[in-house]
Amino acid sequence: MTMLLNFLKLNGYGIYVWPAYGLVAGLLALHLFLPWRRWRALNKKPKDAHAQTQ
Amino acid sequence: MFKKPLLQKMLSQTQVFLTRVMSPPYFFSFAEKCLPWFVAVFVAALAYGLIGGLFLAPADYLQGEGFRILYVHVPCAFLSLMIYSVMAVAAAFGLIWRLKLAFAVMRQSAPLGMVFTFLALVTGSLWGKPMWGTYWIWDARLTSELILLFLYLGILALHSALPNRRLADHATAILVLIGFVDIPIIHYSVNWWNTLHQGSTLRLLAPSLIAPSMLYPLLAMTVAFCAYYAIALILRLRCALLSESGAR
Amino acid sequence: MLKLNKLQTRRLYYLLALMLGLALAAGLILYSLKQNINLFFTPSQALQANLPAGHRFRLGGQVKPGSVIREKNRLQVHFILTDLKRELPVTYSGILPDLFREGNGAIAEGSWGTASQSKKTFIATEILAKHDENYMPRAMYEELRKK
Repeated sequence: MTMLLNFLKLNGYGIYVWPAYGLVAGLLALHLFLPWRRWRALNKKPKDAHAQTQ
Repeated sequence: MFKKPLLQKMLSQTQVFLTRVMSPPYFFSFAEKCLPWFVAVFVAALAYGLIGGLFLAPADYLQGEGFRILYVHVPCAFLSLMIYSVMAVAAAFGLIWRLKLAFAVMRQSAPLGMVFTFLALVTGSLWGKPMWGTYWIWDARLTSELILLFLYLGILALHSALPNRRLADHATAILVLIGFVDIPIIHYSVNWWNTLHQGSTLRLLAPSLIAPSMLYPLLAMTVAFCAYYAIALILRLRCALLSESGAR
Repeated sequence: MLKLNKLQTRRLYYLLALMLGLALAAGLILYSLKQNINLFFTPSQALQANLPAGHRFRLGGQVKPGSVIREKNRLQVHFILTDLKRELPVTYSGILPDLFREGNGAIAEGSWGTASQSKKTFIATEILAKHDENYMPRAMYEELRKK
């Protein structure tokens, strides 16, 4: 546990390093997720229309 | 008769190639095939880059553990410039050959480039506070990068402000090309002027000024971010082109 | 088959002309602003510029090895900034950034001291540390220093 904490502290630089990594990961994940959801929504529509015509 | 001007010959040949390759159906089948590879490269490079950057790479002699922000800051900054260059090339292709796909690449790259620019600025300021002693300073590198962020914002705003699709594409493409002057300024700002920001770490033509054990994770992270850009761009393009054709 | 398309060639030329004109304009603007864009004066430039006392500017250079003197019981620090041609004494009271080391780059913001001396002193109100693009582990650094 103390080893983990020591690692997370990164000699006192942790408070700068982790927000930087977290922000990058968060924003990039968000930007992958957004078009993916739109893509799924777009995909649903033609399929439903197809089902109705059958 | 025999000797056509070289430029015109190249242009017309490029057109033949482009109309075949850059048509949306061809692009879709190509993108579908490439997507899993990009994902594989992204996952592998990101895993190695993160483990290498956070655990394997030794602490810097001067900055200690604080230098590990390098592994997200440099790829973000690199991508912010690379994406703009891609957009400028796409804008030129779109304006000359009136390619729908080129305009779509330009338009769909802009939000990604904006995110990377924003991240480069924020990670840079989080790095600057402990090392330089300040979050922000109006030096040439930081200011020109901030201008790039505003350029991305302006591009997105202009495109959404014009209701006519064709007009929006063309006007935005010209803005993208005008804004391209900022790219060499950002890159060379640290050489041309006195700045607080240090010079470039990654160099294409000369050996990089960084120990190999620190370099490889950095290269891996850069590759991972490039793969991320490719994946996100393909997903965004698929949506954009599909919703556009679906609307008609 | 490879028919020339005059329209496209013309578009290309327009774009090339646009880019060229822009590059030229940007180059001229930046050239004329060259002095204002520089973040700091080097000691040589500062001595040449002959700025009046009280005029705030930034002075940047290398902290001369062996020149840092910390006053006892006070936060006051004296050191010398050099660009390897000219050097200038700097006085600062406050907390220094982590990377402020002898032999490293530093940027001091402040003005000339008002005390009329033959030797000019720079009174700094803020110190920023500059680092370079060479990253290496400690062991490698020690090895390089030995050479």
